[in-house]
Amino acid sequence: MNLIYPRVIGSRLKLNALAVSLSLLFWAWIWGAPGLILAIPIIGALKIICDHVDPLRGFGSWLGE
Amino acid sequence: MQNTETLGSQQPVPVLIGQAAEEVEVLQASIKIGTIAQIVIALIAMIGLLYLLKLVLVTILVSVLLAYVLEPAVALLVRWRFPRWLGASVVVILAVVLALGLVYFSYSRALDFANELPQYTSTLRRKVSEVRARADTLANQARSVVEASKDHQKPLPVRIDHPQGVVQVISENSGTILDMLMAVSFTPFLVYFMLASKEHVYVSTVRLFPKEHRLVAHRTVGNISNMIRSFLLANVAVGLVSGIISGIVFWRLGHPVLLLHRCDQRVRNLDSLSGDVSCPPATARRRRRHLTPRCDHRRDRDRCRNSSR
Repeated sequence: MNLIYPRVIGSRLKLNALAVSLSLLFWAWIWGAPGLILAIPIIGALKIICDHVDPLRGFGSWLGE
Repeated sequence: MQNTETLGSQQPVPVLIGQAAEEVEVLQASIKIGTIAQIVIALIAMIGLLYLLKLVLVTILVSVLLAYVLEPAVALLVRWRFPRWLGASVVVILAVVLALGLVYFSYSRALDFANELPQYTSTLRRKVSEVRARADTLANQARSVVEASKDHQKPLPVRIDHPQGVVQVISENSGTILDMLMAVSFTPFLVYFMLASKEHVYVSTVRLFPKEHRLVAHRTVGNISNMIRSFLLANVAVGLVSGIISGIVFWRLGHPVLLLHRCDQRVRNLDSLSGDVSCPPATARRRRRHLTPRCDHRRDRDRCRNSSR
């Protein structure tokens, strides 16, 4: 599940599987179980914001596929 | 004479330029280090804030997700000429009723499971204690080989952990339970207000930005909405696939709480291997007849008794 979930969700949201895994790890560390649920929307929203802000576009492309 | 000394103490122009360049480099390096330090401090402060504001932020973000889940139903009711506030309230009430029903169903299932649990835990505990006794014997033997004499040694202090009662668990975690109750009681109202005033929230969020950036903000908010919908759909797909796979596995194994039955069966099989019970393990052929492992085991035991008589 830990292998399939980041790949499926990442490909659906155009997110890097590594970024998805790191995000799950980080938000689970900070918020516990709710962090696991909210990690993907947060990293997805962060990627979209980075894509639309010029100085952060590099970080956005790193988060993407 | 004074002018000559002053002129003599003055350095040549290239040296001065070199010193100025060095000072600029040092200044730039210190600015860079200061910037990095500021970024690190800001990151630590942000992580600390996220940790401290866990309850508020999690409640808001979960409410946003639930609002996205319920939005299609509200849109359907609005299409059927319902006022938006009425549609939102109907959908939120239905969702709350569904959630309460699910909690009640899960609670009754958990109670059933808890009633069945002791018959498995006693067997498991017995096996664990046997294994632990063997491990202790081995450890004592190893210690006797390594150490010369144990006569002068003091006995090791042993701490026994008693299992916690329900009242103790509740009293120890009362803060967490109260926080959770507060968050759960806030969530339906937040979801309702998000659903009822969706257009207003969307437009006012875009208007927070200056005019030249509003188009970008509009696109960003739209993309985030699409992303959350995709996320929910992908989660539904993953949940369906994992549900189908686990359903097939449980159907093949033949019992809803089969895992514990299997553990029990394995433990009894261990018994039979170690000679405590002289019954053979259940065969795969009988499993294919959709018999539960416990029934299999009883049948085997009866057969053993008959054969021994």
